[in-house]
Amino acid sequence: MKRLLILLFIACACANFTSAQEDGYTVTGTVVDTASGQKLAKSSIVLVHAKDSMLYRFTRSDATGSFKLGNLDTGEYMLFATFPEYADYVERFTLDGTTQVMDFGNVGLVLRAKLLEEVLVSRSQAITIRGDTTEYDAASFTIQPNAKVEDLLRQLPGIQVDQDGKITAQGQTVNKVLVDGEEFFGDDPTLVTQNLRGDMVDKVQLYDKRSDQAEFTGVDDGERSKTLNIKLKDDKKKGYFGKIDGGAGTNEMYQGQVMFNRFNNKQRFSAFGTLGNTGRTGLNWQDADRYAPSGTTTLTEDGGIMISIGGGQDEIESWGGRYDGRGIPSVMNGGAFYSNKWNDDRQSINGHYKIGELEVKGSGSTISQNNLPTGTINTESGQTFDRRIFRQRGGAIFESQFDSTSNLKVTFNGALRNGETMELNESEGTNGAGQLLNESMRRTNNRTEGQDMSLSALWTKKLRKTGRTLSWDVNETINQSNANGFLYSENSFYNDGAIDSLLLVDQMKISDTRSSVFNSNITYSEPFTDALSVVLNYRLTASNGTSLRQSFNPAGGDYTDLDSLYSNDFKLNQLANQLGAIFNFKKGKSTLNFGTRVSRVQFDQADRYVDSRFGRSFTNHNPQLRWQYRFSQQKMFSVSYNGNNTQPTINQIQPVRVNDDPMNIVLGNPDLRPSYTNRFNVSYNSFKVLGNQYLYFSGSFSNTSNAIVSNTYTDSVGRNTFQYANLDNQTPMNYYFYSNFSKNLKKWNLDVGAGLNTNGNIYYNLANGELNKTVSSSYSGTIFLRQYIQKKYDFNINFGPSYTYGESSLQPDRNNNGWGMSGRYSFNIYLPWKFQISSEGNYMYTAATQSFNENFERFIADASVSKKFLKDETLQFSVGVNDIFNQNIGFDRSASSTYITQNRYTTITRYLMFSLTWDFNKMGGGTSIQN
Amino acid sequence: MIIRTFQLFTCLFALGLCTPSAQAQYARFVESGVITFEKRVNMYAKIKDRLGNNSFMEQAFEQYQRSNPQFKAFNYHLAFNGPKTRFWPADSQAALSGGFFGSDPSIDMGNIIAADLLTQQSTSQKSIYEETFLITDSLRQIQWRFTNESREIAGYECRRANAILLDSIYVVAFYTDQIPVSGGPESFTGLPGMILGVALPYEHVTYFATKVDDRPVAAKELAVPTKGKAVNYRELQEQLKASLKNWGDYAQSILKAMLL
Repeated sequence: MKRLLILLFIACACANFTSAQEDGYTVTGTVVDTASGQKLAKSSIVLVHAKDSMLYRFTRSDATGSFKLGNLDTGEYMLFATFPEYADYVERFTLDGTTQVMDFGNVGLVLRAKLLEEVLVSRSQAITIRGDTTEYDAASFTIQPNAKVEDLLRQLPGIQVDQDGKITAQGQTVNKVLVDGEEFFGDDPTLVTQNLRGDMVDKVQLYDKRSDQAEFTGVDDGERSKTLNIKLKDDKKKGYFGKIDGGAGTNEMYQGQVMFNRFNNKQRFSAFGTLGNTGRTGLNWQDADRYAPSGTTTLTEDGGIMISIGGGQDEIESWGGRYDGRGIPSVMNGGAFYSNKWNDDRQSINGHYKIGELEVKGSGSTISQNNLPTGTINTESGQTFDRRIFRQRGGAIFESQFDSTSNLKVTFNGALRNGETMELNESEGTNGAGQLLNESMRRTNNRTEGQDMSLSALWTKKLRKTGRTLSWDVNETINQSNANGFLYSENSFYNDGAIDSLLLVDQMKISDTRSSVFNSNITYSEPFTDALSVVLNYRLTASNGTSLRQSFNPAGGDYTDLDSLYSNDFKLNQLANQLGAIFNFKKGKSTLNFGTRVSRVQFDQADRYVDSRFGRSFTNHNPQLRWQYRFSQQKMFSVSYNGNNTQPTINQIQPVRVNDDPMNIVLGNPDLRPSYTNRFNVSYNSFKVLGNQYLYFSGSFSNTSNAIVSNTYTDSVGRNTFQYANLDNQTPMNYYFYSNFSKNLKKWNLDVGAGLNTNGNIYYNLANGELNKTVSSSYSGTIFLRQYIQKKYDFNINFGPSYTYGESSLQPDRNNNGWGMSGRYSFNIYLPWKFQISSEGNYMYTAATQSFNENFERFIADASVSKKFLKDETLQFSVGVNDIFNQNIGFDRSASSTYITQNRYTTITRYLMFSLTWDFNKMGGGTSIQN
Repeated sequence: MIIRTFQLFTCLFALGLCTPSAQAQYARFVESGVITFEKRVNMYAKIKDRLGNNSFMEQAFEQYQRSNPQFKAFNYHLAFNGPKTRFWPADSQAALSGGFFGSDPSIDMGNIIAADLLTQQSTSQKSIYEETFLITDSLRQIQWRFTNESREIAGYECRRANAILLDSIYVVAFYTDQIPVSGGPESFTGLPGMILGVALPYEHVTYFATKVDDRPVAAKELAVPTKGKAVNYRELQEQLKASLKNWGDYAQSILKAMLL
């Protein structure tokens, strides 16, 4: 019997041994309730690595409370056995050569409540409580005299017991910590030691230190516990950055620029200065954003971003300066900018000041041909000019947010300018046979001065219902300018080769214009339903102005004799009231926008010399409709209609008599009526982000009824008289269509694309009383190629043909139809040792036409070689040539109806330039300016 | 003998007194049901992370703050029955009308994910920009770190575990023992119990269960999604990388979000 038992025992042991070998390293046991002995099924059994608590394996106990985990690796582990409402059981163990099977036997779990009860009642158990970062023992754990187990349970959310009966509890953790409104979960030091992101480390320090970097606001969120809300103070931006560049070249070319920007937390100060004669008159777009921000960014209704660059009036900024390519410019300008925010960003102020001077000197010649039914008149003329303008502009914007619903923005702008111009113009006109018709010489000197000021305030308020808003925009603008100059002109008129008449003008001219415009616009938007809303507006515009023009003839050595024929003194008043209602309907993928604005205008002009009044009142209509359909986030289609009246201008109705140019005289027509224009627009755009494919097209068509067209009378000696009239039975129209497609060819990482455009119009005018219909249209196509390999090279080429067609009914045999070709390219190559070669250029070709029987071809290319110095590549030296092939010779020609003109002028020609640029940057907080 | 018996009884009685409420707690384990999750995205923090030194973007952000709330919320459901789970958005896929700031796909992608925890396979339907992908692959193996922290979510006691995903995304998850299913929202699985809360602190996104509906679940509620271009995980990664390679740093951060 005994032997049998021993054999059985060995057999069992062997069986156990073999099964252990099959299962590798194993862990087994049974989970029971310590008090009742009941087996606990579905208890969670978890194995974690002892050294870093990384989860290794887990299972559940079965219906009999038993569990088994096999095929484990060797190592040091901790076993957790848990069951709802019970304290966690924790045991540390090792699986290695000596222990292949770890049998925990009966794992006894104790109810939490029971455990704490023993702590409270009998104090028979020592308890270690673990807080955020420290461990402290029960002595420092205050237990209220009548503490209940439930209270304790709430304060000690997690309790563990180990194999020796030692109790550890997770205690005193604040239930919720918010940082800037978002719940903070605390970093896990074991995981976060790997290098992830710098800002992670900051947050951990914050949580531990709770230093002066944060403010505390306790928020009672209704539960018993308090929620801590930590508000991070904004990143302190401190530091400065800037750029200096200068260059000198052949042909006495030079340019220089200095830019500086300093941040001091919320304060920002920047200044810039440029000078040069290369045609660069201000900062480019990116530099302007960094050093002289003037744009306002607004979020449109559908969440898009709209950036509006402050007014076209700002000639001192980029894109301005009024240098149009004719003549040689010389520029000097600079500015400063300051901004600051305070009171939690609720108030802010922006101030700017700009000063600049532009001088342009040049000369040119013009050949033109006027083809009339009565004959051809050829004119040749030459001009020289010298213009200088000096401007100062300053302004400030103050914005204040009173509360979350209302906001006030006050803007002030002022400008001062003065300048001089000198022009000399000589011309000669001959007829088709070469006979001299007229000769003229004209010299003008002018000195001008002006002041502008504008003040506006915009108040917006959000009312209680979402979408209901009220806003009021008030603006007052005052402009003043006066000019003082001299006009000297000699005009001779010939008949059959002999002098017929002579006209001499020698006068001093003074002009003084003042205007004051007051504008007030109130808008109210009301949402009827989620889908439908309306925007109502009422606008009042009142403007007053005076215009004084005086011409003085010489008398006794000085210009004192007032020439009343060419002098006038006008006072103008205009009052306009506008009411508008625009409805907005948004449902699903469609947005529909429709409505109209009606304004009633009263206009009053008083001629102070002859004491006569001229009054007019008229009504303008401006209906509009727009439908937009969004197929998806990346595909959109829209269609729109717009109608508006165009009132005849003062010059067309009752022009001021001027004798500045005796060859061109304007007469008025007080019977003119307003014209009405309809405009239709269509556009579609689709952008495939993943496919890197882009398609866009848009088209528009418009026609005008009752158009105001010019009626030109040209007499036998070539003098032109212009008058305007309404066109009753014809409607001029114009259209355009533009399309663009681009795709990225993945295999070569090359972007390719193509585009087709066309535009055209039908235009009417009267020439010597006869109706002339001009049809013109142009068609063009482009193909482009683009590739960008970071740090190696990039290039961009586009080119395409175009065809222009024009026909005028009075001169059907003469036209300017022809082919053309144009293209642009640019490339950058990055070579070793920080060298870089860049080039860009454009090519233009116009074929000979009936009117101009020579081809015109021009290829302007710039190229430069540059090298970067210093470890951070902030210093760059470059040598460049502008217009390598010396083709920018100042030439253009155009043709319209009966007129054909060809122009030559002085402009900036080829030059070589050496320049040096240095970027400096000392910004704290590691902010990058590579935007 | 009577005294002996009496002592025995007293002992037994005392024993009875000394062991109050010694009954094992009855615990209900939920094997099937539907969980409703609320996903919250901290828009202000997400946009702030994207701003550079660009004054236009800063101005646009200030405007955004004035007219939009700090958090955007989305609702999802997770149905489970034993080892099978299905996760899908509760609100119909409204066109993301966040405009310039809302077009970031890492804000919400409306994923539909069906997982089988026994075979360790999952099928996910993701729409990224203009494409819909159907990704069939094995479940992501997440290295979780076990902790002792706990919190209550939707009435269930949950334990915290942390992990790092895709080398740089820090994840905090809370799972409950009372639902013995190793599943969870999105692609977060692999914990000893059902995950009822997930937070991605540095992506400013959280998913927390608001309701657990303890009920039997029909097979059609666990249907596997079928729409989309069939790929596996590696192919998806390659395609996205190829399309976004010219986008620079910004692409890398949204790439990670799209792969989650």
